[in-house]
Amino acid sequence: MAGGKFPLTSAESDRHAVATGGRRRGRHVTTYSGKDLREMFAAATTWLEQNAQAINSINVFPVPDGDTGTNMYLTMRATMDEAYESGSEAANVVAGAMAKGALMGARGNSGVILSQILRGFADGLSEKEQFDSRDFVAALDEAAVSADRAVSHPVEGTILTVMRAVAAAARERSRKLRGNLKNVLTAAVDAAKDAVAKTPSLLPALREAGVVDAGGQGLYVMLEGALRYLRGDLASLAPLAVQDPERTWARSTTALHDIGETKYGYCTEFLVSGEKLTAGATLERMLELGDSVLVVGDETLLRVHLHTAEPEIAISYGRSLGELSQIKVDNIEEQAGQFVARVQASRYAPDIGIVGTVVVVSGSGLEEVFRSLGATAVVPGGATMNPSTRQILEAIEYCPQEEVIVLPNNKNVILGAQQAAKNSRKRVRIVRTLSVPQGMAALLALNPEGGLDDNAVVMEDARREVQTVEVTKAIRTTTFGGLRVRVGQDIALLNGTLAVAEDSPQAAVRESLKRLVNDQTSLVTVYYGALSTAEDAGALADEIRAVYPSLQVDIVYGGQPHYSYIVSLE
Amino acid sequence: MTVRVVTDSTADLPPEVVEALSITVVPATVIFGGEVFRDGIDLTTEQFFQKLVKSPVAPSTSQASAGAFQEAYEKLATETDTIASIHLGARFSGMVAAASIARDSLKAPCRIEIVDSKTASLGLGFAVLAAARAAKEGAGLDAVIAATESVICRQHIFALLDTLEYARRGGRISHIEALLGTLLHLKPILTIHGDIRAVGRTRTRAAALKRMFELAMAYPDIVEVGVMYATTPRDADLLAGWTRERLPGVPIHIVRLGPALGAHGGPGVMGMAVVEGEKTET
Repeated sequence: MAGGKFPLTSAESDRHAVATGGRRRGRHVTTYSGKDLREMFAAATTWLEQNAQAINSINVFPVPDGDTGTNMYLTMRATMDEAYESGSEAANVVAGAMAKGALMGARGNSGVILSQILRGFADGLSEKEQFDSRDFVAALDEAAVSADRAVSHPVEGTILTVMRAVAAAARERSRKLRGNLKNVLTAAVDAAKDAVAKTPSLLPALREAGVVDAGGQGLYVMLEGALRYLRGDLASLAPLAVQDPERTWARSTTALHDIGETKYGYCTEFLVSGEKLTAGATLERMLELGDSVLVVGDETLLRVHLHTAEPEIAISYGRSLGELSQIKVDNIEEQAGQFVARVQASRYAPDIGIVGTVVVVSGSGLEEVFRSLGATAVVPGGATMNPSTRQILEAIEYCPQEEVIVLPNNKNVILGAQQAAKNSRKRVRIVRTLSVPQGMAALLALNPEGGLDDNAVVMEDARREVQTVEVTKAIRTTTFGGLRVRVGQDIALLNGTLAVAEDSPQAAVRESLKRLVNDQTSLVTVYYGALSTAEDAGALADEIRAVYPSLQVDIVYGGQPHYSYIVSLE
Repeated sequence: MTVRVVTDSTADLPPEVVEALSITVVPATVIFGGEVFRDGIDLTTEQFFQKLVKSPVAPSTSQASAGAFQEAYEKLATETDTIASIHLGARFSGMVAAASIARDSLKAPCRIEIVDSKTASLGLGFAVLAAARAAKEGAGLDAVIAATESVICRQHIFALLDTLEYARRGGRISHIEALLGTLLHLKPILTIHGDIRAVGRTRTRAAALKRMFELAMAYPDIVEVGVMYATTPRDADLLAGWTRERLPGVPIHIVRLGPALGAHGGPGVMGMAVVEGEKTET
């Protein structure tokens, strides 16, 4: 990720001064400024970043693209970028800027809810250039109300429950000990910790999986970061220093993009861990495939970056060296700030009907398929399938039509899509596609001569006609719905629910088909991802044909990260 | 004298109807690897589709020759002095052109009006039926033509293909190929009015049948329905059944597509044609 405008190392001395509690007004009441607010949330963001991976891993489903931590962190980065941009000392202005940044930068459902929390918080502080602990408490109340409104069917045992508990505890403490933000925040943090710990008792799926709610945990971590800041507990918040490999990597790869050797193709990155790895040999191989090549690391861990028109070959090579992780494949032109690749980058031009279509998808092959089906704009989801609200909004604005339908193709993108729709002046409808196969079925049902509402209806009907199987590797040992899963096993989500665990991707697909194939099924399509090969996919298709001779079985290169196979049944 | 109605074999009118209404049908030409057949005379639909699947060489189709039209007009000119000649869409066939050449070389004093139906199969067939019915009731040529054009405006036809392979070979869809050629296998649904347009795509045949049905049913006040099939009569029954449920009492004609269109659609091709009622007020 290219560095933002978020200065982590500066203002240490300021922080120290504020850590002792803002500006004293009168004997007991201390007030805080926009600057204090900003620094508090900056600390919260830093703490969140350090805990993001841990939060990612407590997703109910042990899937590698559990991304609540990353999404909340990225949402906060966008939030803080805007906060620093505002340059104001007034609390209400800073809070407003934060809400604006969060709105556009929100990623994933948790990010969107967080943006609504920040919106409520900003509304609560709308009159205040300086705020005291009472104002803070009032703002937390607003934040909780706003959070609840963000979701059409609020569920207990999630970030909503935690936020409500936080606001209530803060108010309770404030009644007893006025004028002390630290105390209020301490109460808030304790309440958050408690509420998070209770989430498994409210959501059976959490209890069975042996995890707490990730969104709630993210909120708790943020509040904890803010509190540590107030306490002056700076050691634990050591900002990621220059030595941080993540930052160095980001800087180097950004430099490559700035030089801009290649204007097309895919920016491909991955981590490979193995034995006796040689950076030199890898570098040479990558240079054969493209340019802007960067390979760093040692014999057990290499980090690779390159621009190539054939990301799957680069990844395939990586797989041959060892275990791959953190695979990222992004369309270069899209990375350059334009989320939609120009028409000349694709063989396919969009169909221009009355209604435009915006499609969110991860995987170079899948992107091409959607383009070949005539999608007006394609938003790359990235490795975690989660674009920001801004990216979706830009795609909507990019469409030449005034009426647009958005296909999120992932349940974690739905709130973001709704947020983008709300902020567009165009007439926008979201068809709630929960997977790539659903997205394709919906797009195929589009009547180019039909209007927005009619199309939304037929597309919604069409998405329900297809069944989806998604195969990936379990990232932890867990139990779900009675199914025992061991870390590393190949698991399959059947229509969004974890139902199969086997010891090979092929076995997972086989077992999934056993459960789902019925008399109505006539076509099975296997989209193979970046971690699979065409040969394996072909062999799998042959196997399926042998077991189900009456079915048509197609193989399509998807190039998606994390999921070795996505299978559609129609 | 009664107006005589002429059409070509691509109208897909059943023989009983043709006989009952005294319609003259000029056969299209089907060429299979050097052998030339007259559509419906030298080659039946059944025989055609058997050959289609077995033959390594793709068949091609052509309009009836100007000579065939001339023969037909000359014979009719001994019985009447007014002829309505209604044919396969001119945008994608030479049928109207051949008929025009024949008319221009006709020596007999016979008035021949040639109509470009802009469509095919029962779309054309329904227009021809309207003309024949009007002629039977004694309408003059102008009235017969008016009735024909009225139906042409009110008819809609859709076709579903199992594959684009045959249509591609037929060379008449290059303008829509890009829309339909994708990374996924798709069943295209086309409509014909003037030119051929793609109006939908589905992944499975079952979905295509449903989609075509809904497209056909989307018009208000449908008074006549045609269901066309080539090699899949059961699907025709399915569509007819759905139609009976949706539009009780409306006449449904199930016909077999002739070779001229079968060659372009390929085995599995299906069609539906509907005619809207006449609008009563202006």
